[in-house]
Amino acid sequence: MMRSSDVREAADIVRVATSMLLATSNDQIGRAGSDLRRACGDMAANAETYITYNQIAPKLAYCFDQARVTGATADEFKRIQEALVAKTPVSLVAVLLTQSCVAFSLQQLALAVAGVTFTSREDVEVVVPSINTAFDQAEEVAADSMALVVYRKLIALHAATTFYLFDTAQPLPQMLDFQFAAIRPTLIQSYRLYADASRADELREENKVVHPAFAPFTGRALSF
Amino acid sequence: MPLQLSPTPIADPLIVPRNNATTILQLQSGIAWRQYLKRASFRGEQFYVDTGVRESGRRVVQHEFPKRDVPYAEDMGRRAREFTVRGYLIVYPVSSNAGSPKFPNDPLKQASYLRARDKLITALESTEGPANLQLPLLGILNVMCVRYRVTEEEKFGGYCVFDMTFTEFGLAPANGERVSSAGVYYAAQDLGNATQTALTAGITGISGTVSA
Repeated sequence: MMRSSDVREAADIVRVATSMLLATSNDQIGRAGSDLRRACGDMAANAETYITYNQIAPKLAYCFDQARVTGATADEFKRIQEALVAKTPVSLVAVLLTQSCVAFSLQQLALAVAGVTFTSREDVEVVVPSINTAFDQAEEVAADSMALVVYRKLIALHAATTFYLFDTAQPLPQMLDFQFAAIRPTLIQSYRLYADASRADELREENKVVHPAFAPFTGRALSF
Repeated sequence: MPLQLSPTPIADPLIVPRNNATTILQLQSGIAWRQYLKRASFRGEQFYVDTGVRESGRRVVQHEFPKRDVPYAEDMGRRAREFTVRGYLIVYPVSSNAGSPKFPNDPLKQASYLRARDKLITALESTEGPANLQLPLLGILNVMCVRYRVTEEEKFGGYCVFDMTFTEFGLAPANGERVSSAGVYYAAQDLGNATQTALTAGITGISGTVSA
Protein backbone atom coordinates (compact mmCIF):
# COMPACT_ATOMS: atom_id res chain seq x y z
CA MET A 1 0.00 0.00 0.00
CA MET A 2 1.31 3.43 -0.93
CA ARG A 3 0.91 6.22 1.59
CA SER A 4 0.39 9.77 0.38
CA SER A 5 3.57 10.89 2.15
CA ASP A 6 5.48 8.28 0.13
CA VAL A 7 3.92 9.56 -3.06
CA ARG A 8 4.87 13.13 -2.16
CA GLU A 9 8.48 12.09 -1.45
CA ALA A 10 8.67 10.25 -4.77
CA ALA A 11 7.13 13.23 -6.57
CA ASP A 12 9.78 15.50 -5.06
CA ILE A 13 12.47 13.26 -6.52
CA VAL A 14 10.80 13.47 -9.91
CA ARG A 15 10.59 17.26 -9.66
CA VAL A 16 14.30 17.47 -8.87
CA ALA A 17 15.07 15.42 -11.99
CA THR A 18 12.77 17.39 -14.26
CA SER A 19 14.00 20.77 -12.98
CA MET A 20 17.58 19.67 -13.72
CA LEU A 21 16.53 18.51 -17.17
CA LEU A 22 15.00 21.90 -17.81
CA ALA A 23 18.18 23.61 -16.61
CA THR A 24 20.43 21.83 -19.09
CA SER A 25 22.45 24.31 -21.06
CA ASN A 26 20.74 23.87 -24.38
CA ASP A 27 18.97 26.64 -26.19
CA GLN A 28 15.69 24.70 -26.02
CA ILE A 29 14.12 26.49 -28.94
CA GLY A 30 11.76 25.11 -31.53
CA ARG A 31 9.40 22.21 -31.31
CA ALA A 32 11.78 19.95 -29.40
CA GLY A 33 12.35 22.64 -26.76
CA SER A 34 8.66 23.31 -26.29
CA ASP A 35 7.98 19.55 -26.04
CA LEU A 36 10.60 19.28 -23.32
CA ARG A 37 9.16 22.21 -21.37
CA ARG A 38 5.64 20.87 -21.69
CA ALA A 39 6.62 17.34 -20.65
CA CYS A 40 8.68 18.53 -17.66
CA GLY A 41 5.99 21.03 -16.62
CA ASP A 42 3.34 18.34 -16.85
CA MET A 43 5.49 16.01 -14.78
CA ALA A 44 6.14 18.67 -12.12
CA ALA A 45 2.44 19.52 -11.88
CA ASN A 46 1.01 16.01 -11.95
CA ALA A 47 3.75 13.80 -10.57
CA GLU A 48 1.64 12.56 -7.65
CA THR A 49 -1.21 11.60 -9.98
CA TYR A 50 1.06 9.79 -12.40
CA ILE A 51 2.72 7.87 -9.58
CA THR A 52 -0.57 6.94 -8.00
CA TYR A 53 -2.05 5.68 -11.24
CA ASN A 54 1.23 4.10 -12.29
CA GLN A 55 1.59 6.11 -15.49
CA ILE A 56 4.87 7.77 -14.70
CA ALA A 57 7.40 5.41 -16.36
CA PRO A 58 6.89 6.31 -20.04
CA LYS A 59 6.37 10.01 -19.26
CA LEU A 60 9.57 10.20 -17.23
CA ALA A 61 11.50 8.37 -19.95
CA TYR A 62 10.14 10.83 -22.49
CA CYS A 63 11.39 13.82 -20.43
CA PHE A 64 14.93 12.41 -20.37
CA ASP A 65 14.80 11.51 -24.03
CA GLN A 66 13.55 14.95 -24.99
CA ALA A 67 16.32 16.65 -22.98
CA ARG A 68 18.94 14.83 -25.05
CA VAL A 69 17.12 15.65 -28.28
CA THR A 70 17.18 19.35 -27.39
CA GLY A 71 20.93 19.22 -26.86
CA ALA A 72 21.68 18.27 -23.26
CA THR A 73 25.27 17.06 -23.01
CA ALA A 74 26.84 13.99 -21.45
CA ASP A 75 28.25 16.14 -18.64
CA GLU A 76 24.80 17.43 -17.80
CA PHE A 77 23.35 13.94 -17.61
CA LYS A 78 26.30 12.98 -15.41
CA ARG A 79 25.46 15.87 -13.08
CA ILE A 80 21.82 14.81 -12.94
CA GLN A 81 22.87 11.25 -12.16
CA GLU A 82 25.22 12.45 -9.40
CA ALA A 83 22.54 14.67 -7.87
CA LEU A 84 20.08 11.77 -7.80
CA VAL A 85 22.60 9.32 -6.38
CA ALA A 86 23.24 11.80 -3.56
CA LYS A 87 19.56 11.67 -2.56
CA THR A 88 18.60 9.41 0.34
CA PRO A 89 14.96 8.51 -0.22
CA VAL A 90 13.14 6.65 2.51
CA SER A 91 9.98 5.21 1.03
CA LEU A 92 10.07 2.28 -1.37
CA VAL A 93 8.44 4.16 -4.22
CA ALA A 94 10.87 7.07 -3.86
CA VAL A 95 13.80 4.64 -3.95
CA LEU A 96 12.34 3.03 -7.05
CA LEU A 97 11.92 6.36 -8.81
CA THR A 98 15.41 7.54 -7.83
CA GLN A 99 16.96 4.39 -9.28
CA SER A 100 14.85 4.70 -12.41
CA CYS A 101 15.91 8.33 -12.90
CA VAL A 102 19.55 7.27 -12.47
CA ALA A 103 19.08 4.55 -15.10
CA PHE A 104 17.41 7.01 -17.49
CA SER A 105 20.29 9.46 -16.93
CA LEU A 106 22.81 6.77 -17.78
CA GLN A 107 20.84 5.76 -20.86
CA GLN A 108 20.87 9.32 -22.13
CA LEU A 109 24.48 9.80 -21.04
CA ALA A 110 25.53 6.87 -23.22
CA LEU A 111 23.50 8.13 -26.17
CA ALA A 112 24.95 11.64 -25.75
CA VAL A 113 28.49 10.23 -25.68
CA ALA A 114 27.75 8.24 -28.84
CA GLY A 115 26.77 11.51 -30.51
CA VAL A 116 29.95 13.40 -29.60
CA THR A 117 32.58 14.00 -32.28
CA PHE A 118 35.94 13.46 -30.64
CA THR A 119 38.99 15.10 -32.16
CA SER A 120 41.79 13.40 -30.28
CA ARG A 121 42.47 10.29 -28.29
CA GLU A 122 42.97 12.40 -25.16
CA ASP A 123 39.40 13.71 -25.46
CA VAL A 124 38.15 10.13 -25.30
CA GLU A 125 40.44 9.25 -22.42
CA VAL A 126 39.00 12.10 -20.37
CA VAL A 127 35.47 10.75 -20.83
CA VAL A 128 36.16 7.10 -20.01
CA PRO A 129 36.81 7.40 -16.23
CA SER A 130 33.72 9.55 -15.63
CA ILE A 131 31.57 7.07 -17.57
CA ASN A 132 33.01 4.19 -15.56
CA THR A 133 32.36 5.95 -12.25
CA ALA A 134 28.76 6.72 -13.18
CA PHE A 135 28.00 3.18 -14.31
CA ASP A 136 29.83 1.52 -11.41
CA GLN A 137 27.65 3.34 -8.87
CA ALA A 138 24.42 2.43 -10.65
CA GLU A 139 25.48 -1.19 -11.17
CA GLU A 140 26.26 -1.52 -7.48
CA VAL A 141 22.87 -0.16 -6.49
CA ALA A 142 21.03 -2.29 -9.06
CA ALA A 143 22.84 -5.43 -7.89
CA ASP A 144 22.08 -4.69 -4.22
CA SER A 145 18.41 -4.08 -4.91
CA MET A 146 18.09 -7.37 -6.82
CA ALA A 147 16.91 -5.58 -9.97
CA LEU A 148 18.37 -8.30 -12.14
CA VAL A 149 17.06 -7.24 -15.55
CA VAL A 150 18.06 -3.61 -15.06
CA TYR A 151 21.44 -4.76 -13.75
CA ARG A 152 22.04 -6.88 -16.85
CA LYS A 153 21.00 -4.05 -19.15
CA LEU A 154 23.23 -1.61 -17.27
CA ILE A 155 26.19 -3.94 -17.67
CA ALA A 156 25.40 -4.33 -21.37
CA LEU A 157 25.17 -0.58 -21.93
CA HIS A 158 28.36 0.00 -19.94
CA ALA A 159 30.17 -2.55 -22.08
CA ALA A 160 28.76 -1.13 -25.32
CA THR A 161 29.76 2.41 -24.36
CA THR A 162 33.26 1.35 -23.32
CA PHE A 163 33.72 -0.56 -26.56
CA TYR A 164 32.42 2.40 -28.54
CA LEU A 165 34.88 4.75 -26.86
CA PHE A 166 37.74 2.31 -27.39
CA ASP A 167 36.76 1.87 -31.01
CA THR A 168 36.43 5.61 -31.51
CA ALA A 169 39.79 6.38 -29.92
CA GLN A 170 41.73 3.94 -32.10
CA PRO A 171 41.97 5.92 -35.33
CA LEU A 172 42.12 9.35 -33.68
CA PRO A 173 45.36 11.31 -33.53
CA GLN A 174 47.13 11.73 -30.23
CA MET A 175 48.03 15.06 -28.73
CA LEU A 176 51.78 15.53 -28.86
CA ASP A 177 53.97 18.18 -27.32
CA PHE A 178 56.10 20.23 -29.68
CA GLN A 179 58.93 22.61 -29.06
CA PHE A 180 60.42 24.97 -31.60
CA ALA A 181 63.67 26.80 -31.18
CA ALA A 182 62.09 30.24 -31.32
CA ILE A 183 58.81 32.11 -31.17
CA ARG A 184 57.13 31.95 -34.56
CA PRO A 185 53.75 32.75 -36.11
CA THR A 186 51.18 29.98 -35.97
CA LEU A 187 51.22 29.87 -39.76
CA ILE A 188 54.86 28.84 -39.75
CA GLN A 189 54.34 26.41 -36.89
CA SER A 190 51.46 24.82 -38.76
CA TYR A 191 53.51 24.51 -41.92
CA ARG A 192 56.45 23.01 -40.04
CA LEU A 193 54.29 20.49 -38.23
CA TYR A 194 51.89 19.41 -40.94
CA ALA A 195 53.28 20.88 -44.18
CA ASP A 196 49.93 22.69 -44.23
CA ALA A 197 49.62 26.29 -43.07
CA SER A 198 45.84 26.18 -43.07
CA ARG A 199 45.84 24.45 -39.67
CA ALA A 200 47.23 27.57 -37.97
CA ASP A 201 43.91 28.40 -36.32
CA GLU A 202 43.73 24.91 -34.86
CA LEU A 203 47.14 25.45 -33.21
CA ARG A 204 46.08 28.89 -31.97
CA GLU A 205 42.93 27.57 -30.34
CA GLU A 206 44.56 24.49 -28.85
CA ASN A 207 47.40 26.46 -27.27
CA LYS A 208 45.39 29.60 -26.43
CA VAL A 209 47.84 31.80 -28.30
CA VAL A 210 47.31 35.48 -27.48
CA HIS A 211 48.56 36.78 -30.83
CA PRO A 212 49.00 34.40 -33.77
CA ALA A 213 52.10 36.23 -34.97
CA PHE A 214 53.98 35.39 -31.78
CA ALA A 215 53.06 31.87 -30.80
CA PRO A 216 55.04 30.37 -27.89
CA PHE A 217 57.69 27.92 -29.00
CA THR A 218 56.22 25.10 -26.91
CA GLY A 219 52.74 23.71 -27.27
CA ARG A 220 50.50 20.79 -28.08
CA ALA A 221 49.23 19.62 -31.42
CA LEU A 222 47.47 16.69 -33.02
CA SER A 223 49.88 14.08 -34.31
CA PHE A 224 48.29 14.13 -37.75
CA MET B 1 50.68 10.14 -41.85
CA PRO B 2 53.52 11.62 -39.76
CA LEU B 3 53.93 10.06 -36.37
CA GLN B 4 56.52 12.52 -35.18
CA LEU B 5 56.92 16.24 -35.10
CA SER B 6 60.41 16.82 -36.34
CA PRO B 7 62.18 20.07 -37.06
CA THR B 8 62.28 20.89 -40.72
CA PRO B 9 65.62 19.86 -42.22
CA ILE B 10 68.00 22.72 -42.77
CA ALA B 11 67.91 23.31 -46.50
CA ASP B 12 67.81 27.07 -46.76
CA PRO B 13 70.71 28.20 -48.95
CA LEU B 14 70.50 31.67 -47.39
CA ILE B 15 71.45 30.28 -44.00
CA VAL B 16 74.04 27.73 -45.01
CA PRO B 17 75.41 28.46 -48.48
CA ARG B 18 75.72 25.36 -50.57
CA ASN B 19 79.15 23.86 -50.94
CA ASN B 20 80.40 25.96 -48.03
CA ALA B 21 81.24 24.74 -44.60
CA THR B 22 79.56 26.35 -41.62
CA THR B 23 81.67 29.25 -40.50
CA ILE B 24 82.54 30.02 -36.94
CA LEU B 25 80.46 33.17 -37.16
CA GLN B 26 77.41 31.15 -38.04
CA LEU B 27 78.08 28.82 -35.15
CA GLN B 28 78.48 31.67 -32.70
CA SER B 29 75.39 33.53 -33.81
CA GLY B 30 73.38 30.34 -33.58
CA ILE B 31 71.94 30.47 -37.07
CA ALA B 32 73.25 27.09 -38.16
CA TRP B 33 72.16 23.68 -36.86
CA ARG B 34 72.73 24.62 -33.27
CA GLN B 35 69.56 26.65 -33.17
CA TYR B 36 67.64 23.40 -33.49
CA LEU B 37 69.23 21.78 -30.46
CA LYS B 38 66.77 20.88 -27.73
CA ARG B 39 67.12 19.56 -24.22
CA ALA B 40 66.49 15.82 -24.34
CA SER B 41 63.69 14.36 -22.24
CA PHE B 42 61.53 11.28 -21.89
CA ARG B 43 58.07 11.52 -20.36
CA GLY B 44 59.06 15.05 -19.34
CA GLU B 45 62.17 13.95 -17.41
CA GLN B 46 65.26 15.62 -18.79
CA PHE B 47 68.74 14.28 -19.35
CA TYR B 48 71.87 15.13 -21.28
CA VAL B 49 72.62 13.13 -24.38
CA ASP B 50 75.95 11.63 -25.24
CA THR B 51 74.84 9.71 -28.30
CA GLY B 52 71.47 9.26 -29.93
CA VAL B 53 70.99 6.62 -32.60
CA ARG B 54 67.97 6.14 -34.78
CA GLU B 55 67.65 3.00 -36.82
CA SER B 56 65.05 1.69 -39.18
CA GLY B 57 64.84 0.53 -42.75
CA ARG B 58 62.66 -1.76 -44.80
CA ARG B 59 61.61 -5.24 -43.85
CA VAL B 60 62.98 -7.23 -46.71
CA VAL B 61 62.63 -10.90 -47.38
CA GLN B 62 65.35 -12.16 -49.63
CA HIS B 63 64.29 -14.88 -52.04
CA GLU B 64 66.94 -17.00 -53.68
CA PHE B 65 65.96 -19.46 -56.30
CA PRO B 66 67.61 -22.71 -57.30
CA LYS B 67 69.46 -22.63 -60.57
CA ARG B 68 69.12 -18.89 -60.81
CA ASP B 69 71.80 -16.27 -60.17
CA VAL B 70 69.58 -13.25 -59.47
CA PRO B 71 67.78 -13.08 -56.15
CA TYR B 72 64.62 -11.14 -55.38
CA ALA B 73 64.27 -8.84 -52.37
CA GLU B 74 60.62 -8.57 -51.40
CA ASP B 75 59.60 -5.41 -49.57
CA MET B 76 57.36 -6.14 -46.56
CA GLY B 77 57.04 -2.58 -45.28
CA ARG B 78 58.95 -0.20 -43.07
CA ARG B 79 60.84 -1.55 -40.10
CA ALA B 80 59.80 -0.12 -36.72
CA ARG B 81 62.04 2.77 -35.75
CA GLU B 82 64.32 2.10 -32.84
CA PHE B 83 66.23 4.67 -30.85
CA THR B 84 69.28 3.85 -28.83
CA VAL B 85 70.24 6.72 -26.60
CA ARG B 86 73.17 7.14 -24.27
CA GLY B 87 72.22 9.84 -21.83
CA TYR B 88 73.89 11.05 -18.68
CA LEU B 89 73.28 13.08 -15.56
CA ILE B 90 75.98 15.01 -13.78
CA VAL B 91 76.26 17.16 -10.69
CA TYR B 92 76.85 20.91 -10.77
CA PRO B 93 78.90 22.83 -8.20
CA VAL B 94 75.78 24.61 -6.93
CA SER B 95 72.09 24.07 -7.44
CA SER B 96 70.71 26.55 -9.92
CA ASN B 97 67.13 26.92 -8.79
CA ALA B 98 66.94 30.50 -9.93
CA GLY B 99 67.66 29.06 -13.32
CA SER B 100 68.85 30.37 -16.59
CA PRO B 101 66.45 32.45 -18.72
CA LYS B 102 65.88 29.52 -21.04
CA PHE B 103 65.52 26.80 -18.40
CA PRO B 104 64.26 28.30 -15.15
CA ASN B 105 64.49 25.92 -12.21
CA ASP B 106 66.66 23.66 -14.31
CA PRO B 107 66.32 20.11 -12.91
CA LEU B 108 69.65 19.07 -14.41
CA LYS B 109 71.77 21.84 -12.94
CA GLN B 110 71.68 20.62 -9.38
CA ALA B 111 74.31 19.81 -6.75
CA SER B 112 72.90 16.26 -6.60
CA TYR B 113 71.93 14.26 -9.63
CA LEU B 114 70.09 11.63 -7.61
CA ARG B 115 66.63 13.16 -7.82
CA ALA B 116 66.87 13.56 -11.62
CA ARG B 117 68.17 9.98 -11.86
CA ASP B 118 65.30 8.54 -9.82
CA LYS B 119 62.71 10.50 -11.77
CA LEU B 120 64.15 9.31 -15.06
CA ILE B 121 64.16 5.70 -13.82
CA THR B 122 60.51 6.07 -12.82
CA ALA B 123 59.66 7.51 -16.22
CA LEU B 124 61.45 4.66 -17.95
CA GLU B 125 60.07 1.70 -16.03
CA SER B 126 57.13 2.54 -13.78
CA THR B 127 54.67 4.26 -16.05
CA GLU B 128 52.59 2.30 -18.48
CA GLY B 129 52.09 3.29 -22.10
CA PRO B 130 53.95 5.32 -24.68
CA ALA B 131 55.45 8.72 -24.05
CA ASN B 132 57.19 11.49 -25.89
CA LEU B 133 60.91 11.19 -26.37
CA GLN B 134 62.60 14.48 -27.19
CA LEU B 135 66.07 14.11 -28.62
CA PRO B 136 68.39 17.03 -29.34
CA LEU B 137 67.88 16.98 -33.08
CA LEU B 138 65.42 14.21 -33.85
CA GLY B 139 62.20 15.93 -32.89
CA ILE B 140 59.51 14.56 -30.60
CA LEU B 141 58.83 10.87 -31.00
CA ASN B 142 56.09 8.78 -29.47
CA VAL B 143 57.90 5.72 -28.17
CA MET B 144 57.97 2.92 -25.62
CA CYS B 145 61.03 2.20 -23.53
CA VAL B 146 62.08 -1.39 -24.19
CA ARG B 147 64.98 -1.49 -21.75
CA TYR B 148 67.48 0.74 -20.05
CA ARG B 149 70.68 0.43 -18.08
CA VAL B 150 72.04 2.85 -15.53
CA THR B 151 75.75 2.79 -14.91
CA GLU B 152 77.45 4.48 -11.99
CA GLU B 153 81.18 4.09 -11.66
CA GLU B 154 83.35 4.58 -8.63
CA LYS B 155 85.91 6.63 -10.49
CA PHE B 156 83.25 8.93 -11.97
CA GLY B 157 81.52 10.22 -8.87
CA GLY B 158 78.53 12.47 -9.34
CA TYR B 159 77.86 11.11 -12.78
CA CYS B 160 75.69 8.34 -14.14
CA VAL B 161 75.08 7.02 -17.62
CA PHE B 162 71.76 5.83 -18.99
CA ASP B 163 71.78 3.45 -21.93
CA MET B 164 68.19 3.43 -23.16
CA THR B 165 66.45 1.67 -26.00
CA PHE B 166 63.16 2.95 -27.31
CA THR B 167 60.91 1.58 -29.98
CA GLU B 168 58.32 3.40 -32.03
CA PHE B 169 54.81 3.17 -30.57
CA GLY B 170 52.97 3.52 -33.88
CA LEU B 171 49.28 2.78 -33.99
CA ALA B 172 47.24 -0.03 -32.54
CA PRO B 173 45.48 -2.04 -35.24
CA ALA B 174 42.08 -0.47 -35.78
CA ASN B 175 39.07 -2.36 -36.97
CA GLY B 176 36.80 -0.02 -38.86
CA GLU B 177 34.28 -2.68 -39.83
CA ARG B 178 32.33 -2.76 -36.58
CA VAL B 179 29.73 -0.06 -36.03
CA SER B 180 30.00 0.31 -32.29
CA SER B 181 27.70 3.34 -32.03
CA ALA B 182 24.79 1.11 -33.06
CA GLY B 183 25.65 -1.16 -30.13
CA VAL B 184 25.34 1.80 -27.75
CA TYR B 185 22.01 2.78 -29.29
CA TYR B 186 20.49 -0.70 -28.92
CA ALA B 187 21.87 -1.21 -25.41
CA ALA B 188 20.48 2.19 -24.38
CA GLN B 189 17.07 1.33 -25.78
CA ASP B 190 17.14 -1.97 -23.89
CA LEU B 191 18.03 -0.24 -20.64
CA GLY B 192 15.29 2.35 -21.12
CA ASN B 193 12.68 -0.35 -21.77
CA ALA B 194 13.86 -2.49 -18.86
CA THR B 195 13.81 0.51 -16.51
CA GLN B 196 10.29 1.46 -17.56
CA THR B 197 9.09 -2.12 -17.08
CA ALA B 198 10.80 -2.40 -13.69
CA LEU B 199 9.37 0.95 -12.55
CA THR B 200 5.85 0.05 -13.64
CA ALA B 201 6.06 -3.39 -12.05
CA GLY B 202 7.55 -1.93 -8.88
CA ILE B 203 4.78 0.64 -8.44
CA THR B 204 2.21 -2.03 -9.20
CA GLY B 205 3.70 -4.15 -6.47
CA ILE B 206 3.71 -1.33 -3.95
CA SER B 207 0.48 0.44 -4.76
CA GLY B 208 -2.95 -0.20 -3.53
CA THR B 209 -5.12 2.51 -2.21
CA VAL B 210 -3.61 5.83 -1.30
CA SER B 211 -4.13 6.54 2.36
CA ALA B 212 -3.91 9.92 4.05
